[in-house]
Amino acid sequence: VKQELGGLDDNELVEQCRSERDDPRPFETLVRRHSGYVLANCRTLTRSASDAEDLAQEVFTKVYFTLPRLELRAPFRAWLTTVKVNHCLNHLRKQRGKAWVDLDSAAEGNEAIVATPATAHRAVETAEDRSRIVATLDQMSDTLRVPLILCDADGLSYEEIAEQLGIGLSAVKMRIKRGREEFRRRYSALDEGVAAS
Amino acid sequence: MTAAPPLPGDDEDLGEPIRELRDLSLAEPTRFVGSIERRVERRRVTNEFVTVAWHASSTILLALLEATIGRWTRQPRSDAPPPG
Repeated sequence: VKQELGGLDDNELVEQCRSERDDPRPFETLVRRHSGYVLANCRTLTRSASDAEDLAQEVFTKVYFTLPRLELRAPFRAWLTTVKVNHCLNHLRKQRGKAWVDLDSAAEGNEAIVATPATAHRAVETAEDRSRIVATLDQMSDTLRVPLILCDADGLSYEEIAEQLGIGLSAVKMRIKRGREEFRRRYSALDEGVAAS
Repeated sequence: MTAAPPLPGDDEDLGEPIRELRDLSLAEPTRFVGSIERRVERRRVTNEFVTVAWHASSTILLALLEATIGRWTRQPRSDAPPPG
């Protein structure tokens, strides 16, 4: 049965979850299919492994209770991303108790970043790669890291990011551009450090 | 008047997306699914408790209200004319 469920796509599993509410397996399959992505995303957004696990569990719990009245017009993953993003951003807002607008501090010392070549272009192959990516993101400020993750990991549009963060479209674009540059610079530096050791 | 210098991003050249972020996935911790199931169960029990408590309190309130109204409507008025 597990194999059969594994063969179903997300929206079919959602249907199964709704029609057979007492059977936990379709929901389990959905969780197992998306947990890696949700965990990674919560981890990089919050910079805390324990918070990330809690948040990911809360996201899936919320998903479970929303499923019965959910009308899926888009792929399940897109909806899951929305739930996750809202949940993580609320968590960050509560934690910091302030808005996201401190672009000036984020812009400090970024002049040299612009010319950095795009060397961080490889598939995520090993656990070492993954931990290097997480470490790179951990070094970045919220101001650049959060819009970068929302754009490049979650695939949100610039308009959606602007709405989520409550900032202007040009600020979003600026942060994403700088975020990409800073990510590449820091990732390359970590890469070179590993190669040298 | 000179035009303001263009902001980075105004020309839509924001650099290539970081592909690694799209592919990033972390290993599921042990008992992750079990923890979610326990959370679901706890929340389900809480929801049921809240529902029962709500129904019970509204039923009691309604009964009290009915009794009060019933007593008030049955009570003879003092300014009514004496029988006979």
